[in-house]
Amino acid sequence: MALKRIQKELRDLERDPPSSCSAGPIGDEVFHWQATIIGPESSPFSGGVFFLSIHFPTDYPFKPPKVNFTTRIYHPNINSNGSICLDILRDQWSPALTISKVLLSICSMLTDPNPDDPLVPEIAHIYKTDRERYDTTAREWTRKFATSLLYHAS
Amino acid sequence: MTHCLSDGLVNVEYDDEEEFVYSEEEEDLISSDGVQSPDIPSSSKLSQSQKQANSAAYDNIDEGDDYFLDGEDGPPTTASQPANKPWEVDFQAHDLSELQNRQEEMVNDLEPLLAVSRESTALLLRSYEWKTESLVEDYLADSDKVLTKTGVHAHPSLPSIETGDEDFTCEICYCSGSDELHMGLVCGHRFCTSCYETYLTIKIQEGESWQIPCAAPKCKTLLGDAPTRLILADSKEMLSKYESNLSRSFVKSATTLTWCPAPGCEYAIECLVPRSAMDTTIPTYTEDGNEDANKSISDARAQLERYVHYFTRYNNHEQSAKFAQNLLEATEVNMEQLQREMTLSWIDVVFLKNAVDILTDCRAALKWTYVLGYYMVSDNQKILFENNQSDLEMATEQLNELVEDPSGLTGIEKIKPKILDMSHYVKARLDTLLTDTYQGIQESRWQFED
Repeated sequence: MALKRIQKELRDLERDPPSSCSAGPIGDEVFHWQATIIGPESSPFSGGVFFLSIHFPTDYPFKPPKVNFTTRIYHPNINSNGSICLDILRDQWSPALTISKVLLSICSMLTDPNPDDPLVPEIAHIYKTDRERYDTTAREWTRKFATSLLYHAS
Repeated sequence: MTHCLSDGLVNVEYDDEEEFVYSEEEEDLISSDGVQSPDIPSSSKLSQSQKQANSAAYDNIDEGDDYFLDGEDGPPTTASQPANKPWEVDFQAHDLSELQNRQEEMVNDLEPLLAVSRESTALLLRSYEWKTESLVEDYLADSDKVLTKTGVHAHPSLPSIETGDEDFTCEICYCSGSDELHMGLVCGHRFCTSCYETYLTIKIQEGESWQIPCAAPKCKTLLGDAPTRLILADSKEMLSKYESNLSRSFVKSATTLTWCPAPGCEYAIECLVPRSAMDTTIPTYTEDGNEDANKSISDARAQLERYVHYFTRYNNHEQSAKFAQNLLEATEVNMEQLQREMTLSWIDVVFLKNAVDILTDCRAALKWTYVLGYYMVSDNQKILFENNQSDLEMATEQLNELVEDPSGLTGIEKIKPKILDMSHYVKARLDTLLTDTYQGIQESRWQFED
């Protein structure tokens, strides 16, 4: 079941790729994917390319996939380990969700952080009280960690 | 069932049959229940036999003779006396089927008032943690709001398993076509039955029951009881797990119910002591021996030794209580042997079993006195408490020796008065200790360390 479903998702992604992200297995490992998200234009992450790792559990899609950023990012809902605080990856997961929908949700989270349920309270505080400083730092991190494609792809 | 709660200082007995009244229905449940209810694991043998003993005792109010012919179950643990000790609390034990009946009754009572389907009434009650009053209040104020918030529909049409739709595609496994069996709730989201079955199985294994929503993203419509049973119709194991999860969530939300603390026991206990009081009567037991790393080593060592002193004694009594179970079995063999060899009747040898039951109660109480003692501030009151404790401890050990000693059994005429005397003495010491402990807590006579 899990395998069939993952292969179907892969075919759909190849046939109709979303505009701002991509995903696919690492080598022959069907249950371990790598994904990229292009920083949305309207966010301080614009111009950056962010890498994520995706692990499918054996009972996928009844259990959510484990999705982590492998590129550092300055965001109230993503910590320094790359863990993402997103409801659909936890208790709001539904087996009818797909990787494509998850990645799109992460994209919209980059544009609109949720500072009321933060994973990094310090960043959430700055986001709420000093938006300019938040934008500056996020842009700086994007330039520093998410623009050197060669470095991160290796 | 005394053993179930005597683990805590809120000691509970049901000595007096008058106090422990089953409704006719409950009585039927117990007797028709037979020897082994399927939900009770074999590890709860003790509580089973206690329950049987209890039911036997009850049956016998009318038909006295059977009681003794019945033999193996034996009489209730202690002699009949009014249950008016300050530390005794009336309680009832409920098994799973009784819990289910209770839930159904509450649903039946509320259904006409809310004017929604029976299924929806149950879901609303569960969402409100069985707090009928606040549900009714909210519902009468704004029924739509309550329904939206809880994901319940007032009159959901019962879903059925369908086939024959060319356009159907399951969003989970992507199977499609007119051959696929599928089911959809009132929200309109349809999934194939095999995906629904896996979905439910995983949720139920995670401990969920009524709170499982439709499988579509962000859809809050609750699946409900009938669709769950429809999907799981072929899986008896999951259905019974589902039902036990339902009861679990019921006991968790009901303030007067709590699970029997004995390991493996699946009975729920109901008594007038609120659960919060039962959780907090005893100071929390923590291993704080290492916490004082900043203090000097000798300080820490003294504290550790103090901790070990109390813990060893606590542990000894816990171990002894386990041996008491073996002792009980050995005693029952001895009792049969005595009956055969000396041509005695059951009533002549029952004192042995009574003695073992008293021993078990004492072990449970003594165990916890060391937890209490560990946290007490050393003062005169504590010395008094410890005197009571050591009196009981000494008497318990003496009784234990008498009961355990097999050589004594040959001269039953000699040993019987000794054991009877000692049993009475020990019981009196236990009563004194528990009464004093209860009063001490009531009067805030003792001071506890932080």
